[in-house]
Amino acid sequence: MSSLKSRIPEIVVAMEPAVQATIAESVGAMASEAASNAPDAPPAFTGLPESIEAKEAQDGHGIYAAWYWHFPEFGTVRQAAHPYLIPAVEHEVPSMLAKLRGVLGHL
Amino acid sequence: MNTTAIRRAIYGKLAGDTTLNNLLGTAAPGYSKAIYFEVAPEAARYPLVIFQKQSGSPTYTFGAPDTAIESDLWLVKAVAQDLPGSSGSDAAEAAQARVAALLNDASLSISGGALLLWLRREQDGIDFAETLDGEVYRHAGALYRLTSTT
Repeated sequence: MSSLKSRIPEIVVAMEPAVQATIAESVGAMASEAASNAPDAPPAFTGLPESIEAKEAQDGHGIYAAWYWHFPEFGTVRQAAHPYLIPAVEHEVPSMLAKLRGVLGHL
Repeated sequence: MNTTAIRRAIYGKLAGDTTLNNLLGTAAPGYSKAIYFEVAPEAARYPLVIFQKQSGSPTYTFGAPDTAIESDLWLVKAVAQDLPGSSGSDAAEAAQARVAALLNDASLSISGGALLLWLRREQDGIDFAETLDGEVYRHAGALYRLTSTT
């Protein structure tokens, strides 16, 4: 006869790596989409797409890019914006949330 | 979503506010207010406001070909030029604060039958400077979540 045993400690241990892996995968997808849509017009934005990458820092997973990333994203006084980063994040967030629900549901 | 109708509704909200317009420069020739969609004309005077659709996310209902709800992000920013002895930051931030007061949780008159569900400032701090031809321009903006029926 099996005894009643709480799985909560086991779930707590498994939760963080599973959630972190899902977030890392989704942030990577956001970075890839942003890189594919980023302007690459020399000389102003030379190398912008190549500079975009997903990385894990002290405060969590994030997307990093060349220092001038915000000029095309938000526009300048002479150039209209060419949003590439926020649309990529917006596109991926529903999928990431669905994956996280799946991960948590299977623990 | 009818982007044209939304754009006109946002413009109407901003252009109709005397307090905001008193914070802005003279409108460029051919324009009635210093509020511009996507980019300001070269003859624009500062401070000014630029707004644009930053991202759009449609939501469909089952097999219907048209979207039921759209959730969009709109960037609204003020831009001001540094003048001798004074930073443009104060002017840009003052205009941006007025924009936030006007748009956050505001109602909009959208033509064409779309119903605004909510309009809320979702991210602020889109503040940066740029230098062009030796002049410094200060941008102060925020992203607004605009969700509506189509």
